[in-house]
Amino acid sequence: MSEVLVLVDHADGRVRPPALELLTLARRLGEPSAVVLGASDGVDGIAGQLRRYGAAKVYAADGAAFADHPVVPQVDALTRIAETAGAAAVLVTSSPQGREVAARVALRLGSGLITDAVDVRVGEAGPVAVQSVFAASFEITSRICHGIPVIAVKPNAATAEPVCADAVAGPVERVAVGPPDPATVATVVSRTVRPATDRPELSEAAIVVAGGRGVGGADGFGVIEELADALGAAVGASRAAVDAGWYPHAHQIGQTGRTVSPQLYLASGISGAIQHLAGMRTSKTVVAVNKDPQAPIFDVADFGVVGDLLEVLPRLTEETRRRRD
Amino acid sequence: MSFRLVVCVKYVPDATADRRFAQDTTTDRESVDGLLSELDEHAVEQALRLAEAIGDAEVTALTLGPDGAETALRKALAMGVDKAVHVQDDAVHGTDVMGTSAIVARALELTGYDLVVCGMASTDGAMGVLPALLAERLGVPQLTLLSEVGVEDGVVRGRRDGDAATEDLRAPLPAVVSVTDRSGEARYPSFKGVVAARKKPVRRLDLADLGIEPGTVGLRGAWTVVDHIAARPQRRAGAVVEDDGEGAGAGQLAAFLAAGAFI
Amino acid sequence: MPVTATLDARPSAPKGLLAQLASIVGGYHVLSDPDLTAGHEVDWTGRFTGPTPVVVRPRNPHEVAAVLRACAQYRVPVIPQGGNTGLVGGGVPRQGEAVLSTTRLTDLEPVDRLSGQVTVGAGATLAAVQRHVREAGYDIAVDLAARDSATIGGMVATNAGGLRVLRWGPMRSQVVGVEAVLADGRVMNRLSGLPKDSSGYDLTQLLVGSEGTLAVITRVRLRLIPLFTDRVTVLLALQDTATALRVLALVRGSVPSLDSAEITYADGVALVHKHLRLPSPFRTPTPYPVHLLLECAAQRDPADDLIEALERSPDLLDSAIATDEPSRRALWAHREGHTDAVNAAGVPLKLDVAVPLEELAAFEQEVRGLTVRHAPGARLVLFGHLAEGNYHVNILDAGDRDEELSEAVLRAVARRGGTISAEHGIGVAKARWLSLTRAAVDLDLAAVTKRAWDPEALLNPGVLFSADPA
Repeated sequence: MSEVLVLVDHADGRVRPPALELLTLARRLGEPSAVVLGASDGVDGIAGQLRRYGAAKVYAADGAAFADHPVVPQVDALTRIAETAGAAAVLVTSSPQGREVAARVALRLGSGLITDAVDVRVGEAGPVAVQSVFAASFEITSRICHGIPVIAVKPNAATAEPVCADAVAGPVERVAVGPPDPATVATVVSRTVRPATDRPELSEAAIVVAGGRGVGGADGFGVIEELADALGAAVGASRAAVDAGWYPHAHQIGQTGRTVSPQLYLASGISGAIQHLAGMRTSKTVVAVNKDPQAPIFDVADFGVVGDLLEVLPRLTEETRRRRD
Repeated sequence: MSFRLVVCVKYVPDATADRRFAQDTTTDRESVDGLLSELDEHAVEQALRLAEAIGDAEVTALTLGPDGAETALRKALAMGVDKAVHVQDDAVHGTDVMGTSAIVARALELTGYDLVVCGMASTDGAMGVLPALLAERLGVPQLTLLSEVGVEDGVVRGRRDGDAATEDLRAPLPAVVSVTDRSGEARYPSFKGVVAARKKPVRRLDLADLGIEPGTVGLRGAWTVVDHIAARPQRRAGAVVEDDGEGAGAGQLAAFLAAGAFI
Repeated sequence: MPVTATLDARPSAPKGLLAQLASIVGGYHVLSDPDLTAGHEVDWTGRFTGPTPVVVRPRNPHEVAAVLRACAQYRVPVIPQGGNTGLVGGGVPRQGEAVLSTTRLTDLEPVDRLSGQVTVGAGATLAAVQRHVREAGYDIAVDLAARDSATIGGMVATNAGGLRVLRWGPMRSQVVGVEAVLADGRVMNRLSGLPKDSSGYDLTQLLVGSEGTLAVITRVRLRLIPLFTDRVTVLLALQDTATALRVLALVRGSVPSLDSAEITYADGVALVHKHLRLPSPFRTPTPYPVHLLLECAAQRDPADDLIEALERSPDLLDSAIATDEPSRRALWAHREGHTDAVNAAGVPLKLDVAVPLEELAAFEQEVRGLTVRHAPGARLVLFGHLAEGNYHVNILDAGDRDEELSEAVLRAVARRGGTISAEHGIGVAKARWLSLTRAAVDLDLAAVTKRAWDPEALLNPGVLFSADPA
């Protein structure tokens, strides 16, 4: 069966959820091979988890280059593995960095590239990808017709399905990659890691609770966070809230922030300007709470409440906790 | 020799207008007013600021696009860019990002550059991979999604706010950078700028000038093919209820979420 | 210990009237429950409010006529109410009057391409009419910030001005016909829209600006203008008002596509930047003394004319040009954000005045001086439509000096031959000052006119006339 490479996003020795979704998708196309880059000692732990979700093989490459230089070492390694393995397709998570890696790999392989796929299926002439464009007004089905398909897939494109109950032990195929030519790469001079929270990563979360201008201030976001925690959700913010300094930019959702596609998006005190919609329009279910009955967000919401979010959300949090118990 | 900054700009449809596809599955660009992509305005702004800081520097705006793309160049020139390059050829219609990167990379080589500055993504398409592909083709470093950028002594430095961490990067020149909207407010053109822009040179290039075979780009040269486009039903507004300040709104919302198995 | 019970002294309508109204419009559109009428009882500023016994919502002119006849029969006065965006208390109950809401009179007839006109219901919002006519390639010449709520009928009743009076005139210039219902239920239909009609008194134009005191407007026929596809907006930084007027004079004559000329000052702009978190449009962070926003609209690149007119002007301290939609909206935000920014900073005293242009610079200085003299701690924010000499005077923190200051400013306006209300109307807020700028003969004729149209004084009592004419 043909090998389908899956580039695995990982952090602090843990696999990020989209990688498991990619493995599940890869099983439709062939035999998944996970590629773990720059994980050093954490590889074996990660590998067990990957096999549990269907990785038939696990490749790993490591070295200082992965931490010292953005993008290029990943591209070098993934290209080498794809060529050596004669891969039938390469799947990467569609994040800003993921897309760059996918693009450069595709170019080196002489392959076409599809980014931001929301689904990947088997087609007659090879893998077929589905994209949602123009603020979800159109759905495009396309495929690569030159070289090995390289597809960057959005988080939440599939539900990750394990093939067995526990992590599976097995060999890890180590790949050696030389250091890049210094004239062709940037070097990381310093890195400040953002403190990780217990909340799910915004772009991967199944539920997102987002606050906008209607939250009224940084304190108001406490209400948003409490609801997020009750739902097991990530917290997002509109540009207005971020510009006002009420929440960090890393949580901004919209055209110039993050794009999310969760199962449930709860827009609180967000008017629904088109730049914001661009960042969340492909969410499966949208719910809105806003004081203004004319707010455009209600036009795209599956359910809306006209009211003060500072009153409605705490009650919803209570109700959520009650139902969970 | 003057330090050469080249800004890649794209002429895009106004995001607030309705957008459509043309019969040949390419984006219908004719029917909608276009403008210089908002995200590329930040690239122009940063290039201008870098030029001001360096002193002996020259900024060129480069675009690949149809006749209307001239509008994007005119705005960049009015903002203060020194000259412009317009790559235009009928055979370019329908080119994918791989083909675009090949064309732009050749145009950059022909124009000559010390630093290429791009926006973080295009507002239509939003792939954000062009800067990376340019770096790959040109064999130079990429520093992308920067909120701060500076040039000093043959080195470019930048700050990138990634998902998990903030990184300070450096690379030798020449290089390709992309900047985000957090890099600073883009300036409005002034009257003087608009008047001066009219006298600034716009160099026109076609595929033959770049030495690119038409068959390798355009719809036929694309490495991806669109099989099907479906208009998705517009999201329709669902039920909207008014809260009574006593919990009715929250109650109904909870019921809705429970029905959807979210809680 | 005595128990004092407070009685809720709400007015109540005669049962017979409620029943009759229900039979005319259907029970669903007769509101007498205080929870449901609450929204109709207070105006947009929050300053004017009063209880109503009933809010009735007719669907067409026949129902309006029947409603008025019924109210007349029971001698219940009526307040016509549209979008309730008025700023002078002219659209809300004061002494237990019934409210006739026009919000269901929303029919939009197809655009008449032969005549370039359209007839619309008085309850249609400006935004709805704009969308309707723009689809047909036309535009309506009046535009104002409250477009999503303000109704055409209300705009006619107050002779609304807005942003394009410079080129197209106020609402009066757009109205070519009306249909209105008199207090006794007779319907006056003058909707033919004939451009030339020399057949007696122009009763249509009398209704423009009549603020609901002569008849209830049910339909309006509007003349339309072409929809211009190209716009350019520029923001000019200038030294003072006199310079702004000089620039205006320069462009007015040589730029036929000039639509708008809006003036703002440093203090207002600083408030807008702070409240809306807008960055300065110029590269200097502190605002220039005066900003002048000009907008031109044409079928083809209007920037050329404007640039040609202004490029050699020595008065421009700085300039910012926008031709694409997002940039234009961003420049306009510096002007349109003033109302919100002022409201965010407090509860302002608002005046809407105009003086002849040759008086404007001196008047600006005088208003600043009056503010300092009468209310030393107060903050004055001025902005407005330069070409009409129309300032929106907003004064924050005037405290108990607001009456005194209002009077001082309005007297200054009167001395300079201006008007105490340029576009907001008189309502109840300004009725007592009307004699400052309208002579006794004007006021007498107005009283006689009112009696002729509405002898029982049933329509909008208390508006325009500070005591009902005998």
